[in-house]
Amino acid sequence: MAVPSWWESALKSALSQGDVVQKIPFCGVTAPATFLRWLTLRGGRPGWEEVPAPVLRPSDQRKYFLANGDILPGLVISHDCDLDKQRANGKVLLAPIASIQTLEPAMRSTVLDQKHLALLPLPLVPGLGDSYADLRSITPVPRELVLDSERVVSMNPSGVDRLYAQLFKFTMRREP
Amino acid sequence: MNGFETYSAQSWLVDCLTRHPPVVEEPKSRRSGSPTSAITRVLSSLTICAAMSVASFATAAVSAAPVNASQHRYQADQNIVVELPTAYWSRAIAEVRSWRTVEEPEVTDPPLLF
Repeated sequence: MAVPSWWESALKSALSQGDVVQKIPFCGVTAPATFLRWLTLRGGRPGWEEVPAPVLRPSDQRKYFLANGDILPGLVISHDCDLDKQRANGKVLLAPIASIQTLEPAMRSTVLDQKHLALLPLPLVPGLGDSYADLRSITPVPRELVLDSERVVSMNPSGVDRLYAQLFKFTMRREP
Repeated sequence: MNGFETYSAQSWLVDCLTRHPPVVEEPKSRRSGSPTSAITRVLSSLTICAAMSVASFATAAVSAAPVNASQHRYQADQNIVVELPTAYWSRAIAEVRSWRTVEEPEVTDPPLLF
């Protein structure tokens, strides 16, 4: 039986829920939290130093923390309505994507059988192959970074419905 | 008791109004003339309230007393009264509670990607 594709044959006109985008800097704050302060080093070079409590950076009135992360493909989780809103400091929610081959064989089967609530199988992603999105690490990413990233493919309506089902089960642990 | 009494007025009202505004069941004449009139009324109340004291409103406990089967009247700080539809919530809660819990497979989760 042919497996219905979850992907559009062409990218949607604008960034959309279910899009796969490349080279997203995913990150999360370290534990324990390490607070940083911007400073100018010798020779005028910019730098950061650890401080015991969060402080506002004068130039942008933001507080800075140390984070760790990786550059990974991402699945757009934010709804199209939120993506269309032009907000200052806007963020887009993304789930990191990895190749299904990186999983242990038993886990690979569990994910492909659609039995893992946190890991959404993404079959035959153009350019990436069989992959999965990890909903445990949904991350807000600055909108401008996402818009500057390469869009790989858009989900078709069936794929978006599948995403909805996974999001619901993952967050609620219930199904009709 | 419908379980919402312990929510702060701000979070519950804003969530209700922004996510599920079109569920007010009104007489046909009012619906056809102004489909969002009830929401407008509530938003007006919120605006007035915000002008009075955003901080106190945000933490004010909300008490509820049933008005009729589809509507409750909520009062915050004894000053502002807003009317909110509860029909949607009742349906949604009943529906979700009827759903079955998803059984998770016994697996060791893979490490996080970052």
